[in-house]
Amino acid sequence: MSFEGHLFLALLEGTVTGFVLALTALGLSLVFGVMRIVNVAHGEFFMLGAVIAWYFSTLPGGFLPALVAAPLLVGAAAFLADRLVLRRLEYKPESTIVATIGLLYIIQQLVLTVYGPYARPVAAPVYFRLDFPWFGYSGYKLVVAGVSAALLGATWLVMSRTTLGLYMRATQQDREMAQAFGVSVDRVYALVFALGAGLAAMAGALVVPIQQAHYLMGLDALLMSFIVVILGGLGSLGGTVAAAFLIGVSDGLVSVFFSPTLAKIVATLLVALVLVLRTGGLFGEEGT
Amino acid sequence: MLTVDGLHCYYGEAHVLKDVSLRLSPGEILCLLGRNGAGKTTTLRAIMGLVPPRSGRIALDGRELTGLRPHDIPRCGIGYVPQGRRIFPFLTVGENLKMGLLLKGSGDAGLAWVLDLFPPLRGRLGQRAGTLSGGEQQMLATARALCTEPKVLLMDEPSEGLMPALIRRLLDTIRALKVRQVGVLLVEQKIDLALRVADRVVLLENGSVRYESTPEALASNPEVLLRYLGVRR
Ligand SMILES: Nc1ncnc2c1ncn2[C@@H]1O[C@H](COP(=O)(O)OP(=O)(O)OP(=O)(O)O)[C@@H](O)[C@H]1O
Ligand SMILES: [Mg+2]
Repeated sequence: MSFEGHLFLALLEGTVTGFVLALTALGLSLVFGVMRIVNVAHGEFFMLGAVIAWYFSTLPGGFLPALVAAPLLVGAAAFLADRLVLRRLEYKPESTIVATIGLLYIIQQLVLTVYGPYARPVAAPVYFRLDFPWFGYSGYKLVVAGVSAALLGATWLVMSRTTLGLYMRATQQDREMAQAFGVSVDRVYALVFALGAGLAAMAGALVVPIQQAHYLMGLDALLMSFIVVILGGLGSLGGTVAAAFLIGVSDGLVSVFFSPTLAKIVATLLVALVLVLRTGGLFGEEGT
Repeated sequence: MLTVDGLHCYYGEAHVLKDVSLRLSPGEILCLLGRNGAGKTTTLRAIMGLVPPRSGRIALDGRELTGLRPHDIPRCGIGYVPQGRRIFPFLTVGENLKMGLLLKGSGDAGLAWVLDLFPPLRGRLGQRAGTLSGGEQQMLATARALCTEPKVLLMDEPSEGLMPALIRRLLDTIRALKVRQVGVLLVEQKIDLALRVADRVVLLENGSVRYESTPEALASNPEVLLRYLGVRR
């Protein structure tokens, strides 16, 4: 394959990765922004989405219903976790980190017990190839990118155009004043936590035909989400999406031209650099 | 009528409000005075449910507010202009006002009279609130609270950092509220301003009410002014 072929492949892979990464990290960013908590269990919500999608693919209804069921089920589980655990800890930063670490292990071990230690593939619900001059490319990956883009757009619409989004942004900026204007912060928190988990589960369900479902797959998702959220500026949704593309495309380029391991190293170094040089992230803070 | 009876509040172990009692009638302007740290802000925060009182009760028109969750209290008809403005800086001016309008559910009719009170905000509805000047932010903080059409408005040092022309405008606003039968509980450091606008003044020291009178009586009592406010006249 020629240089242009490699370059095009790298950019294409990078864009798809960018979309998936943005969708995966969006919930972490949202939860950190609005609730000021670091959700260490975020990757497990992603993994749960993938495992639920695998389970649905074994049923007569097939894979597609999972795209509705996974975010709903995982969102409901997160809602419960908020009510039963986080709320009782009054969302204190240190306690919630410990609590979500606990949640991470509970979810992981439950899935290991019920689902087992296997990596299970799921057939893509649509199968077609796009033929480029240099190579053929999986059409499903483009579908994943498209669905991710639609969900990013929908989240943006909710945040910027709806009353719920207004309440979320107001709560993010000044929790007490939001209450002084009638916003039930408890309710906003529960919804944000559920929404964040639902988005991660959706990302997990979408990628399972590309990646396979495995009970440890949440760890990588968590690491990548952290990288993206820190790079993008804590709590900034726009920054999160921009950082996801930066990481996705650089990951694509380095993976294609060098090696995937080097790509991860580059991403980690980038974060270390940002932490040292620009504590607010590359793309500024706050405000969505 | 807003009634506060025997309020005691703590921050941790610190006893910050000690047996504070207040009455505020519709259309009345009650000014709460006191030195830094006297407990003025804490009194307002307790009324808003943001500091839970350890004992005492707060009621509006006979309806018990003590024990309600913070977000239920503005619904009962209490508006809040906090110390330091605390507008939502990353929301637009229009969105800040919408936070108030949504509470009341009164849409654009509610907006019209508020914008008539603060014409400079009219042309800036789409602008990010954090980019407004200090004076405009104060207008926005007051306008946002008025969008909830409160029966009682709590204002915490609204004149802080305003230039004289804007202070006059603030006083006009407060008098306009009086005409609409809104009760105003005004916290002030500027004693002259308080004396100009208040119907009644209450002096707080160390978390306790030490003195209560008409502004005229306070103005002619240099001993009290010196003792509780450190003002020599
Ligand atoms: N969040 C808090 N935690 C602990 N102590 C507090 C807190 N807020 C205020 N205090 C203390 O409570 C006391 C009363 O404070 P408050 O803010 O009510 O005073 P204030 O009369 O409004 O003063 P100022 O004129 O400076 O605004 C002060 O001694 C203050 O140090
Ligand atoms: Mg104060």
